[in-house]
Amino acid sequence: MKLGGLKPIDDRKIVERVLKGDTEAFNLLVRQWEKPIYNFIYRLINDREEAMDLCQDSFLKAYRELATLKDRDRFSAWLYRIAHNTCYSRLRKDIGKTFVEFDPNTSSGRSNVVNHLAIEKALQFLPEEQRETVVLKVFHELKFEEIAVIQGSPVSTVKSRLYMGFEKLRSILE
Amino acid sequence: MTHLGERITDFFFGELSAAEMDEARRHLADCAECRKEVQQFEHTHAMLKSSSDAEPPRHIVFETEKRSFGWRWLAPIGMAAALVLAVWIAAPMQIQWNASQLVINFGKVSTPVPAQATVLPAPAPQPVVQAVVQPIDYDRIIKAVQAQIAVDLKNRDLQQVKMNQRTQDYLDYLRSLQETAEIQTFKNTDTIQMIALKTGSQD
Repeated sequence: MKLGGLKPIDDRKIVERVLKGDTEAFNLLVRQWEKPIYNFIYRLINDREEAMDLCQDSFLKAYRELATLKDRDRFSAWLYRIAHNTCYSRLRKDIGKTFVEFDPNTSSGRSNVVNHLAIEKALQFLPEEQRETVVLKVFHELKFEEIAVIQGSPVSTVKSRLYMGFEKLRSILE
Repeated sequence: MTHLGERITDFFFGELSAAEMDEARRHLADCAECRKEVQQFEHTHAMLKSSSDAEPPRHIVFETEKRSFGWRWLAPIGMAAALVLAVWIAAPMQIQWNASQLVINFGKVSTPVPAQATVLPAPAPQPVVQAVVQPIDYDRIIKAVQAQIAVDLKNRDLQQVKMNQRTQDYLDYLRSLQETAEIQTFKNTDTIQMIALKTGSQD
């Protein structure tokens, strides 16, 4: 499985360099994946600072457990899975909390800025699994099978989550 | 063919087989209800995509631990110096150069023997080393070395504490900068939002 046309061959080479002892080469992987992973986490938890901390935790776990990565062509899928687990550990601590207060007036946004804010807030209204599915599909352009691996769910469930998520977002945003 | 239903996701993202895609297109050509649903799906997707990615507030850098160069070399030198000092303390040593003779005494300094009146033929001048062998006080040496090590460790701890304090101060300073930046960003966001709303209401 290769994610989103990004460079799995390069990832593989870097992973091998790190495993051979060139630990600072791990920074090349960080540089390549920091922004996507940060945005994935940020859209899940809607808190920039916390997202940065969780992003850092995810890379730290990846670094420590790199030797356990069996298929080195799948570094990115593996990294997303780690970020998913890191986020869900954090989200489980906040069960019952309301993340955002949604102002329906901002949903009929008239500029890009307002649109952006409305979308960020609307995403927070989805249940976690639906939100994650929408984020991975729309913003990270992953295949349904890839998302299924990250979420540890059947492909059919992932498709249902996306469909339901879109239905809900449409009712909020339009 | 029945309505697309949830298969709209596969169709929209092109994850149906070629044959299924053709079948779905044929169905859409005849079904206004599914066409509308695809359009709505597309619209929601376009709205979501208009939200751009954010830049991380800071960047992650992995650094391998740098070894402290100084202490690695200073420690054995300090130990050797301590040992010499301890030997000096434990066994007093006196070095004298008398009448072309080098005399090194360890331990208690022997009292000089009075010179004899008898005149002896002068020996060929050559350095002579006389050593008074006395038992070495190992306990005293060990205590002195231990004391020196304790001093070294104390100095090192003090330096470590100072370094920690400097790092902490620097972290506090960075935190304060970050807080200032966050407050400013928050204010800017509010201003942008207000401008955007005003611009929107004028439209």
